[in-house]
Amino acid sequence: MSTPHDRHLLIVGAGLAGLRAVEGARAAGWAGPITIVGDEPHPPYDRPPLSKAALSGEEQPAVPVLRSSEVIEELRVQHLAGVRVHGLDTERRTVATSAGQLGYDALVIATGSTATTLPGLTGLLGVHVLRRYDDALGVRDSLARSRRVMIVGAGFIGSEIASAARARGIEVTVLEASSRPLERAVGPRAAGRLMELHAQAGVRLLTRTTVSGVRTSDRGVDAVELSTGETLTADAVILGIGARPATAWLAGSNVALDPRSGGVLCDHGLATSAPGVWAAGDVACVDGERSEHWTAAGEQGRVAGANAAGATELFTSVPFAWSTWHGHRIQVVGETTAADEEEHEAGFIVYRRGGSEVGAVGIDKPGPIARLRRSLAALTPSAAPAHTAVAGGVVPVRE
Amino acid sequence: MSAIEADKTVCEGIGMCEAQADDYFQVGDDGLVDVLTAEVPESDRGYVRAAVDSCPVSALRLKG
Repeated sequence: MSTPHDRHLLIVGAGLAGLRAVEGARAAGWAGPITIVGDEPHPPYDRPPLSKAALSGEEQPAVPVLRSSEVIEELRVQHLAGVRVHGLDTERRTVATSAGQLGYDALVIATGSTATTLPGLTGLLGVHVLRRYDDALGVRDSLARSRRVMIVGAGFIGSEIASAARARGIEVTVLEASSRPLERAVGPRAAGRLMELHAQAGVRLLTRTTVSGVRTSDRGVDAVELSTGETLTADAVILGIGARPATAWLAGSNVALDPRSGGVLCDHGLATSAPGVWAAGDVACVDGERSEHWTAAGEQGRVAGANAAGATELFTSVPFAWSTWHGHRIQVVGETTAADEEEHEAGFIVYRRGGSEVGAVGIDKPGPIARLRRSLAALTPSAAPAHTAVAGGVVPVRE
Repeated sequence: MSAIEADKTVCEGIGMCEAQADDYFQVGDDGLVDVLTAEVPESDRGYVRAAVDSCPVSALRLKG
């Protein structure tokens, strides 16, 4: 029989959710060894800067690490870098990796997601996705050499890249397949306001338009053929068309996936269908939804880690995302797809359901957004606050 | 006793600090962080540290 001091917590995925799982587990009293496995060569790092500061014209950005080496040391976590996972055996409690079999007593799946690509464009010189630090360096190099770029997808990532490219004086065209950008994220009024920012900054936006082909030379991409019949010259093509949960390695395991999104099905405590296995971050599907937001990934990681260590916390959080386009600070809080959408004041669009405010989109409106976020948080039944969990010192029990 | 330092020139008002430790941080009407209590007793150090570390733009420091 193992004691709490030699039980092993394995975390697969070294992004924000994985790192917060380590912190959540330690705060909840996990006493045994913790290993965090990532397939990249870098220490756990933060993704939001990759589409923001990392693309600016200044010197090459350092890896935006999430924690200092001192903090990592205090957490007593072993980080295995550059290790890929292939499979999971929930009966024997082992994960097959490129570094051999790793056993666990508790497992947190935090493998995130993989950027969607377009068939026919994969691997072409000058074609990029932006998901990882190394991708950001590639996009950055491409921007430095480009006079015209084509961005596919007018969502948040595509828009941030468009903003970085315009800041470098590059001619930018953004293609959007749907008739209305950000259709699943915000209401039509807010989407219109956000797209005005692009127009003001000189970005050309083409809706209901997709890529039908590319023309290349030995220097890579030269031009993009559009579904409208138009052909536009482009020195680089950057895809911001979403991401799929990285769950291929779970095929054949007892961990149930959501058939629609492909994410790992989780309850509100982030437990999966398999005993001893939790999930967090972009890979997790809670109530049929993958949130794909930084704030949710961090909180889910913390809760998954705490619960793996024996706590009984629930994931609740007010959805929140932020972005900067062309120097304007954009914040999205709460539910922003409700039909009742009203522009309260210029750049502050409020959503109501049954007469109550349920969310807002703010453009350069951090004060009103912070107030609404506070009032929404006060209405949300919260999990145990972090300092209670720290003081609690829960002793993990074997299932 | 530790002390919180906030750099308002870096703060973007994202509010992760407030979400985690609202008795120490609040995003004010100007959209920037206000430190409500700068001095942190040892008993709160762990959770204030987590709030400080969670800042996406590294605008916060915990000294001492």
